Amino acid sequence: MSSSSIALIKRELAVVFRSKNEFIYPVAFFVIVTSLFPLAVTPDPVQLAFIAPGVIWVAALLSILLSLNGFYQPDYEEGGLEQLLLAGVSGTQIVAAKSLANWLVTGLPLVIMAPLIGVLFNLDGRAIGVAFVSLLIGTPSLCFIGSIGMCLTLGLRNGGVLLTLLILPLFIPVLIFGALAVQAASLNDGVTGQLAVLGAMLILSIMLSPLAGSAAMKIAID
Amino acid sequence: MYQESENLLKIENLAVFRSDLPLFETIDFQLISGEALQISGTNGSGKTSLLRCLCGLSSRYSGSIYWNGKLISSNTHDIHKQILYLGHALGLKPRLTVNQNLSFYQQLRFDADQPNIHRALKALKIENYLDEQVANLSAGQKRRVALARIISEPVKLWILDEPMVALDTDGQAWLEEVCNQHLSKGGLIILTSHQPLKGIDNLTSLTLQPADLNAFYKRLGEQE
Repeated sequence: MSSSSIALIKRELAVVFRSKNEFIYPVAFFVIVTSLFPLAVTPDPVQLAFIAPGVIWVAALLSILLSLNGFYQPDYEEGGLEQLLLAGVSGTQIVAAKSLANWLVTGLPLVIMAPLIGVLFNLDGRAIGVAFVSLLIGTPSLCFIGSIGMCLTLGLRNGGVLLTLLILPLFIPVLIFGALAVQAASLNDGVTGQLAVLGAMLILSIMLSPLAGSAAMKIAID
Repeated sequence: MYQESENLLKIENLAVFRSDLPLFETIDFQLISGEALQISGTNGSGKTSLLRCLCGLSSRYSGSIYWNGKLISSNTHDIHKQILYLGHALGLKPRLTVNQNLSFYQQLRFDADQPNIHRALKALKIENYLDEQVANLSAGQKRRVALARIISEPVKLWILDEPMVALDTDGQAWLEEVCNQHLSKGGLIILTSHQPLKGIDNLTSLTLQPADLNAFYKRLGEQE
């Protein structure tokens, strides 16, 4: 990784830790949404374990969707993106660094919180482990894929709705295989297949989304 | 860093477009080391769009822009290394401190050299705000922080969009003085401003004339 990418990631992290709200909101959202389900749906442990995989994955997906905007829109409006391009940082570097920083501050805390939520939902040990691993492989894909949608909607006044429409279809495969893996684990089935597909999607999204995001960003700045 | 060789920015037959319509009558000019150019024109005449084309951020133009004899559209990376562009959006992160903002940009382009930042802030009389968040500064102070980059990042070509905005008379005098120093070292400056800049040497002026759209449509019709 080049030194400018590292400098960029450091700056993104510094910005997030300065304004702690943005850092805490997505994780708080994840915890609140998941912990409301036992109260609203049913306190029955068997049924909770049954809905847990879907609930955990949907909540994780939505909190990442919420966090995307803060990493791109302000930088675009403040003129930071064009200054980065002028300073010789390539568009792919910018998108990759931002996606990685986004995952470190939003995705990783979700992954760490997931086992706790698993216990709340009466998941057994193996399913909790698989939930942890599937989120660990799946959430970075969401951050990378999300960057494409963010770059496409840069500078639009009501980009939020459009972002959701553009990005959700691309998020769905990750959601399906992520939730499927946890479900299979709670039914004591094999999970290698699902996790392998998640891994493949991660590799694809890391390789392709910086290219697509960079192209979209250049159109927005042009 | 500064090169001793002469530099040349040459613009031929340039028209800048917004929504496929030309903004101003085509322009030609060239600028060599030690010269400054002030671009003026009414609001909306395309000054900012022109500057963005000159630094390779925008490609909505026809005609040619050469930097040292090479087209900038095919050598964007080369010209970016030699340009400092300050636009209306200053590119400063409000949540980071003055020092964090300036040293980030400096490190991207050059090896870390903190004394330069201190020198720049001192010259601008904002050295006491080194560890202050940019969000807490006034508009004029933010402009001063952004302008500090012309000292902390020594490059050949300065492209400044309305650099005088929000600056007090002290700041304006400082800017004119720094511009003169830059020119005497062989730098080039392109800036826009609505006020006369009497203090800058070797300053030529270029006024953008609104494009004659009727003639444009007519030419378009003839082509078809």
